[in-house]
Amino acid sequence: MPSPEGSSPGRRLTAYLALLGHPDLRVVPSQSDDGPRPVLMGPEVRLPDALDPELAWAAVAHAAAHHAHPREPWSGDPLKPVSRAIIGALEDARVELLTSARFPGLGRRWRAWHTATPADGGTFEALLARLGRALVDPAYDDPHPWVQKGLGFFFADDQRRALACPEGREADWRRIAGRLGHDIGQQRLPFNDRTFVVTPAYRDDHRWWWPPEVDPQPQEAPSPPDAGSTEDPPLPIAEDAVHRYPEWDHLISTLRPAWCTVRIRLAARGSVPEPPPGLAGRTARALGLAGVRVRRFRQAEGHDLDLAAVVDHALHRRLGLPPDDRVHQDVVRRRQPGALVLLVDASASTMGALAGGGTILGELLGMARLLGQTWQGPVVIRGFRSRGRHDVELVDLDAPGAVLDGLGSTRLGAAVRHATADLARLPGPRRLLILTDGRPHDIDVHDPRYLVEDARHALATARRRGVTAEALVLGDQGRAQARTLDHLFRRGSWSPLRRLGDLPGALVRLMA
Amino acid sequence: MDRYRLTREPFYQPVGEECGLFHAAYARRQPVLLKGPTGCGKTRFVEAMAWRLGLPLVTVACHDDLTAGDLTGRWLLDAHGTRWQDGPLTIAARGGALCYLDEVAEARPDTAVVIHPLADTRRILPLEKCGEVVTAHPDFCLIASYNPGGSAKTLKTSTRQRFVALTFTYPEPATEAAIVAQESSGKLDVAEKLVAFAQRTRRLARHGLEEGASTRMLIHAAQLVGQGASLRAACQMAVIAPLSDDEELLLALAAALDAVA
Ligand SMILES: Nc1ncnc2c1ncn2[C@@H]1O[C@H](COP(=O)(O)OP(=O)(O)OP(=O)(O)O)[C@@H](O)[C@H]1O
Ligand SMILES: [Mg+2]
Repeated sequence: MPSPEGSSPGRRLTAYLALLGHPDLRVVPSQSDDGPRPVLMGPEVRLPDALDPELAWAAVAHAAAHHAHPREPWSGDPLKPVSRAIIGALEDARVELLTSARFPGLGRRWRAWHTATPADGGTFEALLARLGRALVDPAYDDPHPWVQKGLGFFFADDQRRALACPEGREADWRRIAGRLGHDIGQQRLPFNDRTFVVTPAYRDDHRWWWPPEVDPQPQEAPSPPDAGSTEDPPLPIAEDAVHRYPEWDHLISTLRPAWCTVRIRLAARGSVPEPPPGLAGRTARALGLAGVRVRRFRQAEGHDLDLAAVVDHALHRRLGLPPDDRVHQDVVRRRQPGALVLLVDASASTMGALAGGGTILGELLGMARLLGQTWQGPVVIRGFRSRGRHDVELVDLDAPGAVLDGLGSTRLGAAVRHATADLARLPGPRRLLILTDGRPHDIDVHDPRYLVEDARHALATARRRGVTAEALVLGDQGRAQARTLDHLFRRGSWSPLRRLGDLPGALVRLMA
Repeated sequence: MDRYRLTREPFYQPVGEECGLFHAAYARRQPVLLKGPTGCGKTRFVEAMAWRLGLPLVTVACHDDLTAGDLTGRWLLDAHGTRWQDGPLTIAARGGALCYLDEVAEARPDTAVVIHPLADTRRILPLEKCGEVVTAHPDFCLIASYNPGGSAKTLKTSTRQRFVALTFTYPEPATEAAIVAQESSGKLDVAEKLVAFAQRTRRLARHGLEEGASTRMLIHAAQLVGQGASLRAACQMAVIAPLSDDEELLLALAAALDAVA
């Protein structure tokens, strides 16, 4: 599942934004037409994937500065490219200086990226970078008259302490940019708007700022890669019932009632690979570990004394009653397999090939089948996939030759809620095991954390109802995304594996 | 009973109407549940109330393995035969103390049930094992604390509904800074900076930090500063590092500390 959005830098930087006082903003990866620059758009801070981590902190802090010191919208009156570039530098300096007053550490962070010096020369770009540095770094002295002139307009005092235009009103910026731009024109310094990039690299391109006609419109977003292809005919419906489940929206900390629609469908017929010989036996032994630890009191033998029983024993002897010699306690694992629901991830990404041949889904189905055959209690096997919240499919894979194709996405929360409801009807200990290749994802959700948080919520609810909820994660995602999976499934409640043959080991890690 | 009396007045800074409301509840001997995040002053509040009422305070830290016998009492053997020993709940009920069940939700629900007859109008404690029914002393009152965000465990409805509840949160910044300065015998400006940083950490629930920095942590940090540590090192050691194990959050917290320092 290609979801770089949920990668750790995004989470770290979004938390940083919250700590800086902007809980509504979030860091997401750049879109295709963003280029190598940070882009601010609405509540999003879009950063290129491979951004240097230090640059990323500075970029996010810069975004916070813009949001902390918003400005009136730009009028849309025409503006020369040179003026636009100058105004960008003025506005960046304004918001950074105002922010540094409250966050001195941010000023330090930004200044580290300003490296322009007189040695860079006298092109317009160089002069603008030199002015940009002089505006935010009082320790930097630049003798160039144009830079000095800019400082004189920008600051109200010689010490570069008080801003002349702290609100950054459009009229003021136009006036200053007009004067500074005039000098550039007089000196016939060339400027190419097409190749110009704002410096330093942590600063965004201000596209949120300029009226739309000045900036290229963002292109139509490409269709999500994990979306289901439309050629696949839907599977026959197993039952008329349509199940609706709520969904947890972490942004508003609320369960949206009856948000997802789940339908149960019948599987296609096909062949599931036979497990390698010997695997069934090893799997069965691993499953033997699945039991609840029980402390038994008043035992004839055991590792520890049961103090209450010892006291009773002595009491009885004192009172002249026959003593009970069972004064030990021990801990046993009670083999009570109970009911098991297996949820098999059948989203499009599971059609991916495995290193050793075959598809991820084939391997997941093989695992489900093996578990189904070796589990001692009642088993229910369901494949799940989705195409948005109105169309979550649970495919009945209980029959021996049942298979399905991987398509669509992974709305794990809804599947877990349905499985929990199924388990509630079964007696004894209950267990839910999710077989997957990674993380939840669906076509109608763009916030990468949304479905993770929803699934986490569904799993927590299941656990509160006494269901042991665990996951086996097949493929490379497991190790790469350990932290996300720890968060989603809970540390110790999921286990990575590379192929079917690893199943017994993974089960031991999970259940022992 | 005297060994359960406080020997000096605890420092407690009221943050709202909690003292008056507690006294009203105590006047009718209503059991009081204190809800709130860790380290926000619940225990200190109980100590202060015990002092003001001039009552002994019996505290029980509740946990998974707590049995009814641990609360009510048990038979012991001695050189001459058997002897009944009252548990803390019985001691408090007989002796007219405040009984404080700290983190009551940690106790198993079937254990918590032994407080039921004491926590309603009966005010009795049947001791099945020794065949006695203890009638609570008129001064006796039950108090329990509970951190709704701190654990997955909750209280049985029948236990919960026997209590009136006071909800605790972190005090207003100025009040909290005064508490931190007082408790750490430190400077107010240091305390103010610590509180300002703590407040930032308290908005991270959505980012995987269920509870932000507690007043207790800030006192620790201020004490380290008093010992000569820099504010930043103290914050890192007493606030950030103990707050989470999540590497990403730790990085964000350290960067935020760097921003304000
Ligand atoms: N209102 C207050 N007045 C005085 N001190 C306070 C106050 N609030 C908090 N404190 C200080 O904070 C510390 C932690 O408070 P306390 O031990 O009462 O927390 P708690 O709410 O009982 O936490 P827990 O749920 O973890 O037991 C106290 O030792 C005290 O120093
Ligand atoms: Mg306490």
